[in-house]
Amino acid sequence: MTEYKKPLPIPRPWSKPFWEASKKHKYLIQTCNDCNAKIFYPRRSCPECWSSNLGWTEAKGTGKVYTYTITYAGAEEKFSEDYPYVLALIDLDEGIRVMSNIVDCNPEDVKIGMDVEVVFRDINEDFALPLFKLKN
Amino acid sequence: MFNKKTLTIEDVLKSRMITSPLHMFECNVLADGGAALVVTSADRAKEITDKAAYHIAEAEAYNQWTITQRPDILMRSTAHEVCTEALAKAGLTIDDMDVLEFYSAYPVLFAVMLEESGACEPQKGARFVFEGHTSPGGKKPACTTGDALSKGHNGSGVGLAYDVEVARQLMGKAGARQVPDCNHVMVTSGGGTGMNWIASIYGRGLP
Repeated sequence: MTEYKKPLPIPRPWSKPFWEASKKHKYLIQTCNDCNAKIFYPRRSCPECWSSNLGWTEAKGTGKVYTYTITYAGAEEKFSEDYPYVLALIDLDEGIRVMSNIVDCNPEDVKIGMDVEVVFRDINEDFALPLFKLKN
Repeated sequence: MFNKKTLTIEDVLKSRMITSPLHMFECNVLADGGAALVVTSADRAKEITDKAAYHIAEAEAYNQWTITQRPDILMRSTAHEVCTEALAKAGLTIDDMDVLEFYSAYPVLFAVMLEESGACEPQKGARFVFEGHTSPGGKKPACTTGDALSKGHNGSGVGLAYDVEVARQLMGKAGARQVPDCNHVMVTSGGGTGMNWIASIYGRGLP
């Protein structure tokens, strides 16, 4: 595996399960055990009811493009090798909105409302990044 | 335009794409710069000068720092809230505003502010600009220094520079940019990733 030079995730105690699952190619959504809220991004307490009784549920890994941009320039230099790339807000079927890249496609083919599914990139021995691709 | 060069619609559309749909000339140029204001009470201002800019009302509202958590990524409801509240506090309407100074780091937010402040009809912000209503001599002259897109963006200083321009317009010191009979100005600003909006109303006198 070639050395991954872009910034790495920094797992916190409350986000560690997300990254550990991602490493095993599973997409977890933090969930409040008291009010059932689906929480993104992972936090120490529920943003809806302030409970700290939180757990995790596995997502289907599918959703729709809410909006996107094709980035041609202006990002941090380490990402320039990826130009042009798609940065998107994706509404997962479970009801949370996440930010990610849509990969393995011609960026010009991406449109709002398209179906996407998660694809994991093994970037080093510790991390796999959850990205998305267009669903055929 | 930045660097005192003129800019046409064709120039903007021909400039390279940075992150779609924003072309190079639709993105701020980072710049060095400073701004300063002399601030005092209304009573003391009367003793010092007969040309003061009075702070009449202000409203501020917060949305969300993280863009994935915003129900509305353009923050329309927050923009509407602060403009409406500031005008209500001032006891004035958008029609009383002679100049609109809307800070918008990218062009879309200028259209949003025009719509949400009530300066134009909903969904007609871009057309309102295109028809020249925000230009010098238009019915709602706006962003008389050309916004951060044209004068450059230097972080927090860009917001204070707006207040300086508001003072100049109300004090009749705006030179070639002066809007005639300028009695009231609305100025807005936002911060960070766009997580808040602030709207202020200034006048040539107190109501």
